Amino acid sequence: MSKPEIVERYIRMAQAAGTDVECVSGAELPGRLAELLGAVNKPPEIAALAASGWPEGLRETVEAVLVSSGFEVTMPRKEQGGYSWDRDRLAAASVGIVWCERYLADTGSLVLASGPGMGGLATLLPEISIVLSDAKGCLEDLADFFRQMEGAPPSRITLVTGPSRTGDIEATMTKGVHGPGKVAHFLLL
Amino acid sequence: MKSSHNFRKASASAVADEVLGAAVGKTADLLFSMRAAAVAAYPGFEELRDWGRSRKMEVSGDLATFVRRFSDRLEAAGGAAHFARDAREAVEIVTNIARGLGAVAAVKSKSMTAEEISLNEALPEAGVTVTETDLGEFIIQLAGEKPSHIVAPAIHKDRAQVAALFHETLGSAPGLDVGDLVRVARKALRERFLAADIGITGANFAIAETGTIAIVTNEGNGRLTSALPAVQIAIVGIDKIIPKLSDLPGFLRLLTRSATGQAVSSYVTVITGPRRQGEEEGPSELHVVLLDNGRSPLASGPFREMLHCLHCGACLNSCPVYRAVGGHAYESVYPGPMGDVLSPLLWGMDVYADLPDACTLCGRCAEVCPMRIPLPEYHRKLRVLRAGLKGEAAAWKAEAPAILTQHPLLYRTALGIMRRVLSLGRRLPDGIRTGLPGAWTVCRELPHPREGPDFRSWWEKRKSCHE
Ligand code: SF4
Repeated sequence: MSKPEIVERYIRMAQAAGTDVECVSGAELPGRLAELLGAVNKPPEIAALAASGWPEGLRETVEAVLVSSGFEVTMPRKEQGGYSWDRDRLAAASVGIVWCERYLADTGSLVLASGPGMGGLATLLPEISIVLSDAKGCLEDLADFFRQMEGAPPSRITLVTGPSRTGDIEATMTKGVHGPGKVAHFLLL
Repeated sequence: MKSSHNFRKASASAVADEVLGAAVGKTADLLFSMRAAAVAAYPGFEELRDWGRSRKMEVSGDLATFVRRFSDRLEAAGGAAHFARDAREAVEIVTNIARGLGAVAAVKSKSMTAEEISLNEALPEAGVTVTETDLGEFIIQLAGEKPSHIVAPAIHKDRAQVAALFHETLGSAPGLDVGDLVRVARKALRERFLAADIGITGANFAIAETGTIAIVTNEGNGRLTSALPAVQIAIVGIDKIIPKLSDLPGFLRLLTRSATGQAVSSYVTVITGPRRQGEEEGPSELHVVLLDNGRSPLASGPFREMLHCLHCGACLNSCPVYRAVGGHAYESVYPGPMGDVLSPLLWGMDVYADLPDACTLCGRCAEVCPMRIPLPEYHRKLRVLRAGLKGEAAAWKAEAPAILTQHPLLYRTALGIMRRVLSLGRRLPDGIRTGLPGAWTVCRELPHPREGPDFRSWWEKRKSCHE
């Protein structure tokens, strides 16, 4: 499959799994992001932001949108031993934003690989998870991801497919049980 | 474990419970049809089942080597591997780790293996409170009950019962609907996640090649349990091992489609060792307790493929007996067809003597089992084995149907005799007729052979007309 085709397939599968996917250009992103933030939250609130992994300059752009939308930003702080979150602020955050390097067309899954400052917990604790990627990051499936992986696996690889959900009470599907009830994926095309 | 299990007695009261019957039926039906749809939508599923079975055959054929490889690689990745021969050793390992840390609070994501070693009962004695974080398990824990399905543990409760339970134990408003109940649980559990010293998980897969464990959940509780507390302890049955990382995608496909009919669950967390230098997510200590508890001997015996079980629950959802009685009547961690076989094998024929009878040999479980485990065949073998333990005569009785169906002449003769005896039986007075065959007629009528020629002689005549 060609790249545009597998990206299309990703979008179909991710939406079927409950992820909101939006294709935007770099120029459109700040506006669309601000729109989404305005719609889902009443500031002042806290947003948890990944410190690393971003393409050149993008983190600063996102941070500026967050601040101008009235959010306080918390990021993993770099100290001597490495990165660490301010636990209380992370726990209080209502939105989390990270860069996601790879995602899978086959199942509509995001692939979050661990690394210093990558901010994985920002996609788990807040009610709303916002994830940014580019078209390059789309892969066929998990097997493809493993094939491209160089050397040993990172300490954790998390596949996220749609929001957190449960069917434990009378098999009634309910979103947002432990993790985010909303996952928004912006594809920079 | 129960010392004297009586499935007949336990199931009788379960069958009479209407709420239970309706709740189990609803969820099992839903899971069953979702699986069917997911499998139909995946054209290569039959080949995938064969592939999965062959990969697991490789592991069960050389289990000790794979266990060693897994633990070596885990240690190389910075994790600690522990071996537990039985439940007592496993509990000891976990409580020792907890004591060493001075831990007081643990969160736990769903693990049938932890259930198998009764970890929740042992930890409070070591001064650690445990909170179940899977919503279904949390409900069960608040109610002081046991899970009744390996994938949907609270399958036997309806929403009104859960609302009443949360009202009583968590002080929420009475009569909440499902969405609100979930919010209440989220809030209560989030606090426990943030306060926990230890996260206890199971693993759906343990990958020998890299010392990796994979945890699959929809709720994300497995991810939280393994990401927030400073120490993670994973209780992993040695049957969970698969050879390589590249096998994981195929096994995930088999598992999630069979369990819930999803192409993939919401969260799959693939963990290789504790957090590394500079990272801010994950435990700084990762312990994996590799539990044997009767598994190794299975590898060289006639029930070897039971080690291939993915704990997907598809056989439960397909089983007419499970659907009628629910999980509790089995009085075991492992209910349904997989439990009928596994419970007597792990805890002894004497303890679970009648579970192999909780089966109509209808074969639905074998049809849906992603690993093609010959479950009906194993039920039958267990019956024969059990009869053998009782003595020669009983063993012969259990084997008799097999012998009969393999010898046409013998079969025909026996059938003829039965017909005569049964038509004679019809003329007997009621009391004698139902009393004579004993237990067989408690819930059944004796068959009445129809008058006139039997099928065989009728067919003999017919056949000549066609030729
Ligand atoms: S025996 Fe087969 S169908 Fe039943 S739980 Fe195990 S893998 Fe699933």
